[in-house]
Amino acid sequence: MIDLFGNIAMGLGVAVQPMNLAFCFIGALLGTLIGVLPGVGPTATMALLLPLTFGLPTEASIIMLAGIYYGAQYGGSTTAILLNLPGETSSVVTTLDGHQMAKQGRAGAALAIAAIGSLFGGSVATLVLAAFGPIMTRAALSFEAADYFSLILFGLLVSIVLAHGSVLKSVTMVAAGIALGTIGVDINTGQFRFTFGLMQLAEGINFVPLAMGLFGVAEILRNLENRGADVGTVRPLSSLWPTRDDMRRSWPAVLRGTAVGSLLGVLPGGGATLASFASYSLEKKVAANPSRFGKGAIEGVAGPETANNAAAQTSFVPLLTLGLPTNAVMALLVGAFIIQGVQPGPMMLKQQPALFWGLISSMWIGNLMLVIINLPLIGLWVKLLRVRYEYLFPAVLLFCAIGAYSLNNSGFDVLVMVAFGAIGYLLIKLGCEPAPLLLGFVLGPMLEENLRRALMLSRGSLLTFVERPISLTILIALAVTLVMLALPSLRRKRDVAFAEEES
Amino acid sequence: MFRRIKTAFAAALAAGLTLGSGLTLGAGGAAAETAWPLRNITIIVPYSAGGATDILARKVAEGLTTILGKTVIVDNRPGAGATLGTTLAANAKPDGYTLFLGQVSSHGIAPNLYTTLKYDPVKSFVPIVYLDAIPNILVVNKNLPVNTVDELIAYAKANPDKLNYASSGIGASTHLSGEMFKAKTGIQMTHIPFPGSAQAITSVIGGQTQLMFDNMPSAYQYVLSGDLKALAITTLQRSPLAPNIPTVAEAAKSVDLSTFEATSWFGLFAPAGTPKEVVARVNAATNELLKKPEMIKFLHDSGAVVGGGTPEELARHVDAELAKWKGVIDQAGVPKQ
Amino acid sequence: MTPFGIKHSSQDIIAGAIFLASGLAGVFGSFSYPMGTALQMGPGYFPAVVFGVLAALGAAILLKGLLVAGPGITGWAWRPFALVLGGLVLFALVAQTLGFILSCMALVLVATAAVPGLTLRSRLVLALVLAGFCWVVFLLGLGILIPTWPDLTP
Repeated sequence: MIDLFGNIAMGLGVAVQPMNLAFCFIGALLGTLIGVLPGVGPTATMALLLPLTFGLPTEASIIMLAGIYYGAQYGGSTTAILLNLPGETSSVVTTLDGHQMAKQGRAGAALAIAAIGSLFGGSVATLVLAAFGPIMTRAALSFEAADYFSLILFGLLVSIVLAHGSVLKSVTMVAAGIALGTIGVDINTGQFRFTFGLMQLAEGINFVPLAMGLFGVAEILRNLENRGADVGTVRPLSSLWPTRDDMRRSWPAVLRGTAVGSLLGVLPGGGATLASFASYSLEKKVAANPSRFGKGAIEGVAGPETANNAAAQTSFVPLLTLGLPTNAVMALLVGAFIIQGVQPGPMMLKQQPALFWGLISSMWIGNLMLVIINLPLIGLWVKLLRVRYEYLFPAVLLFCAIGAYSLNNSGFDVLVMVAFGAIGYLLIKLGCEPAPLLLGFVLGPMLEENLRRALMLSRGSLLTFVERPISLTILIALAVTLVMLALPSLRRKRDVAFAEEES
Repeated sequence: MFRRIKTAFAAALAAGLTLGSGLTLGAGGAAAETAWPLRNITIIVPYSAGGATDILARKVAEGLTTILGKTVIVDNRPGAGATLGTTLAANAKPDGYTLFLGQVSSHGIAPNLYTTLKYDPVKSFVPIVYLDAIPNILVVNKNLPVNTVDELIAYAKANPDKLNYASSGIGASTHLSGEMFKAKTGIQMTHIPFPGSAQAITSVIGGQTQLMFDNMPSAYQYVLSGDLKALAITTLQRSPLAPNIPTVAEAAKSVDLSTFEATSWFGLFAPAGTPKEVVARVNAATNELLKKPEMIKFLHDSGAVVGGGTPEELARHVDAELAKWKGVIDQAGVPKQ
Repeated sequence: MTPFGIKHSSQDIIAGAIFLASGLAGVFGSFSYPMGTALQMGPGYFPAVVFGVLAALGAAILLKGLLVAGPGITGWAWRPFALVLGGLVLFALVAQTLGFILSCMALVLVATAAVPGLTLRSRLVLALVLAGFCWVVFLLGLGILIPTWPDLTP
């Protein structure tokens, strides 16, 4: 422990050097500004700003990139809340209640609580990282394919909670998402599946145009259909800041989100993806009145946003202690390290202690800067919403088109976005919600991959799923949750039956 | 992904905020000797920014910028296992302003895996120069009771169907190295593919799988830290980064593996029809670059064996690689698309 | 009230039919790949199961739609649907040949035709302003590689 404080002090010594502070600030600012463009998610923002750091000294460049990452992530949440446009998987759930809040004129409160929750979750997770990083990595390494399979199955199951409509339809949407996820090369055999001879589909449908189509474009179509006297999607503001009641509702969600995010973020097999979904499900489960969710419940923003940021911190754990990137953003950071002549890996802590602890300290500073940058900006973002919708929607469309185009420098991804815009609009009309579909799409390939890998490793024995303690524990938790889910839905069915008898 | 940032913007930012940072940008106005190059040159990289291929391309671009006196830009065109960017480069205007960073995938493995490719590795490109080769390194979990290649072979024969080897995906050199090893030694191992090298090496460290032929620079870290044991490297010469690790050919005494070679190699190409003078200029400039101490140091740090030589040598290398991987893929029974 | 004189939901009927049909098509497609067995799955196995589940769920929704009263489909806005998506398709097709500025303007002009209240003049101004702004941000600032103007050299 004394070591820990000594190390953090050394790290702060690096991080608060004026030049590093400046780069942290520039990074967070640039990240926010680029990340807030619809259609440009955190991965794209990082890739695009990466070359900017090549000429900088090692510490400054890594610190700046970390700043860009936080900024971009928060920028992505901003578009999710304001425009119903998730830039990455984790902000999908933010759209559910965040955009509803914006529609009720409470965008300011949603944005503020997201920033405050992120700061809290990020700060705690940074401390967790500093204290337990190496231990957590070892624990994460003991997760094998069978355990991942059970965990993902669990994640898919609780995702049913995401929808506030029909359970049958939301299960169907998860299945549809998993089905879409099978498009592309089969990683176990190299077989192309459902690619219809298009090389562009070999690596599957890209998440970004899929999400922009289902959420962004479909939302625009829906808004354009009821052109009445009420112009614009969003009602005028009631208040820019969260109310006392908002804070009272949010803080337990923030605490739970921190715990969920910190734990899941460490898993190298994509646990961070699950963090915001898991937090949302948890909030809805513990809420006294779950029916508020999906209609602008502030806990539905506070919890997932906190979990997301906490997971973003702890997902650095495998990178820093073992050099193992857990997602695309971390892989970009590995590239940045290598360009700086630092091979990230188990030797980094020994060879470059100042860099290691400096980066960890600057994570905390980056989170703080994020709040400092964004609280004043909230007023600006919210003002943007008052722009007449006739002028706002073409701009959003254009950003989305350019964003999709730039993914692979080809019109193909724009066409994918168009297709899913049409499908998304159809789904709205059919009373189906796209969020469970997106979750199925992201987790489906991981489910198949780990199922098949587990069976290959066990040489075809299904017992592997119950023989491994981690997997068994998760499966038991899954069974318990299933029973808990089934009970209220049985009750609801009875209610529906009663309601129909009355009518 | 966005392709590049204006280098000038990066330079301005760096120069404005750091004191004495050493960015080399060839805006220094060295007068060109002939008409070419009149404008910026683009190197198409079929992988995204930050990967091994991209990093190499950026180093080469930086070096060529200084030598040629015009800015050389890296244009990342990822997708479909490098085939999208390669097809794009094959169809680019052969005016000498588009180059291509080819590698073992685009010019060795992919043409043998995909029947629907819209480029021909030999006919669609003119080779310019061989850049370098990064060995794969045979690493095993630290708890596996083997310390040499011979012990591994003996262990595999004593424990049939117990070993799993990880790879970064079907058709990757990490996979085909393993298949080649199985074929030449006659041992039984199960192939466990992962989506990418990081997840694969994680599984070896964690003990879920037992061994892997991973690219040298990333895997070597875990050898130094004691998380993995290195048995051999897959080039015919030892690596300057780790001269104490034997080659597979040297290490195997019980089996003849003297021709065992599997590397991640890189070379510069241009679209077919690019003027001969341009090819000669780029070849000369790159050979000059590959003799510079800082470039050699960069390559050695990544475990690479430095290349160089004539366009004809690269052409012969491509032919040999295409033939070699065809044999391995046919023998391993990897399905073709 | 309904053709069969019983309660139904056209929303659920159509949704169910679509999921049932795409599920069945997917199962059919999966069988063109090697199946393997449950313990040695080929590339077709998992998709066949998933699409099968999708088809079953679709059938359940369809059945529910036929038996239980529920909402129908209302207010499909064909004009915005066609113009917004058409504008995006146009952008995708012409971006490389017509260049950045003209493609952006084309998208904005087509998409804004979906809104009745705007004059041609204000749409043109909007298109010009947005194209200019995006040129500064994306091409000048971020350096994405789309040509600014059409390539007129032969």
